[in-house]
Amino acid sequence: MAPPGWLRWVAWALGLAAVVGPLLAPNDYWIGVMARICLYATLALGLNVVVGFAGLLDLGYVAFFGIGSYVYAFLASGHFGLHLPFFVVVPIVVVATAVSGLLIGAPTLRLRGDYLAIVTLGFGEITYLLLINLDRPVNITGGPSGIIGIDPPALAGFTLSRNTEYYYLFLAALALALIASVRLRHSRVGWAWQAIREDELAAKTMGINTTVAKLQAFAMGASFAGVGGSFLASWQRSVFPENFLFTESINILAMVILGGTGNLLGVVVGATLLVTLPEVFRDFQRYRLLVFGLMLMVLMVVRPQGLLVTDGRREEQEDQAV
Amino acid sequence: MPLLEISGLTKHFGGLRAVHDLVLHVGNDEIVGLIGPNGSGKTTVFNLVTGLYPATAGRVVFDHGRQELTGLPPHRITALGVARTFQTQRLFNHMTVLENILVGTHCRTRAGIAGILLGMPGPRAERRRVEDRAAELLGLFGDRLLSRAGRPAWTLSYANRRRLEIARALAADPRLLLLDEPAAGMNPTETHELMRDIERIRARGITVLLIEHDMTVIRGICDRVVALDHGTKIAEGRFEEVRESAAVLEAYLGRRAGRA
Repeated sequence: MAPPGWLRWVAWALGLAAVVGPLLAPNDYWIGVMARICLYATLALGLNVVVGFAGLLDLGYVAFFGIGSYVYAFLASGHFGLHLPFFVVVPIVVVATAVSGLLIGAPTLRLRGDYLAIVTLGFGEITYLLLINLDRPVNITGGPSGIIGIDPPALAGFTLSRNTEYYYLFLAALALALIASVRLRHSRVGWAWQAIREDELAAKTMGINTTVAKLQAFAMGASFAGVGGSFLASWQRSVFPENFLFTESINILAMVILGGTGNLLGVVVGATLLVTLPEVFRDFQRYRLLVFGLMLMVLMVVRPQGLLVTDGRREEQEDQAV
Repeated sequence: MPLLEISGLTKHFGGLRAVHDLVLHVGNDEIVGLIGPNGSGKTTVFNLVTGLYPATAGRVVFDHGRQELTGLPPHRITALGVARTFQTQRLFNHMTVLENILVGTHCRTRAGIAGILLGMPGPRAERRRVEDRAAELLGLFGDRLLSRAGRPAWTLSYANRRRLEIARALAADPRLLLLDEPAAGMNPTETHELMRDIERIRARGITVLLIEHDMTVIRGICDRVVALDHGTKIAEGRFEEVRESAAVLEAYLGRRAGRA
């Protein structure tokens, strides 16, 4: 269904603000924050495919972000002496993370709700432990000291270096992630995902192969994280296991829930708030988490359905007497 | 060979014999009623035919003896042409009325993820086609569903939700439609409308097997009635014959004290 008129305007306004943003930013630091917003919004849209569309509560999403970052680092740094070009590495990383999504998704297919959440949380922790420990006996991940000296993105002889350049690259990826999400949402695959979220048994009897559909959701969500991981590695020029802690999974999940699960614009707004607010409160370093936590609690009480919800949950129930 | 042929179908849950050695067949373009007291195994039969439960023993054969359904997963059975509704409604509540129907077309569409992401013409045309088809199915119930196509399913009234369940099942293009108590909770006017709707569905060449407690519906539209008790068939035939059967009276009313 077409979104209401005001929402369309908000979307256009946000898009325009995003394009001219760097010109208005007070300094390079804030352009960096904006780049992080785009990066995290892309990740959140990926998690939204799994949690928002298919209703599969994944608490280990950061694993795919980590796998994506490290695969990029393997293929474009001095670590293994491979320096493949950016636009060759990113598709490889996307395929690798999609496959990892299938591998992690397959054993969890029979699990639902809380049980699925706990197992995916476990997979997230396993990934972190592998990253931190796989420097012995053969050094694969660099252990706790990570991998440094990663190649920046380069296209046609031009190498990205300034935050503004990264920002526009990340913004373009976010735009593609949004288009992909919209197309999926209104397709037979997206309808199948949502049907599984609403009632898995009814979905089966409607002719949906729920095994295939769930695996597609895991792989699709993970591939968004592959793009995000490549970007993080090439932007930081280094990757460390500490980038992929459990708290990151929760942070990305909060972005999805904050704006309204399943709502695409809401997810982007959620990512914007959750990246920006901690920066705003940086001056009150000591109270930052306190205020931030309080805001989340107030929001959950006042608007448990998320900031933006357009699926008509506020609509009146039809009169029983027809 | 009849369209659906069930032979020796048995389902035991531990010591409980929910369905035992059932023989049942449904012919082309028939409307067959399945009746019996609560707990007599009617819904279990539906769950066995649609593959939600594995059978303990017996066979379910579809398409005039050509297609074995026993052991197939539910989505394959739907794709072969068997669709159903549920006793307690299982709509996709936070999807729109139209989207509920679109889910039903899943097994009749082919678009893959790559084609969808790239916005290829094939998937786009397919989507337009199923959206037209969905609107047509909503139109089966006059304006009742059509005027609410864009609203979330949970906002519908009780009777409209029942209608949407039927429309959603029809979206899968079934040859056999299983309706589990479609008239439950409907008032007499709505029930009569439902009976006309089911007749119209049969007129489209769809065979109907329905479970119903409302004997107005059974008497009004069923060509044949099968009565179950404790998972076994106790009577079969025209409604008037089954109604007079001693076994049916006993199952519903209990054994008469004088005869005991």
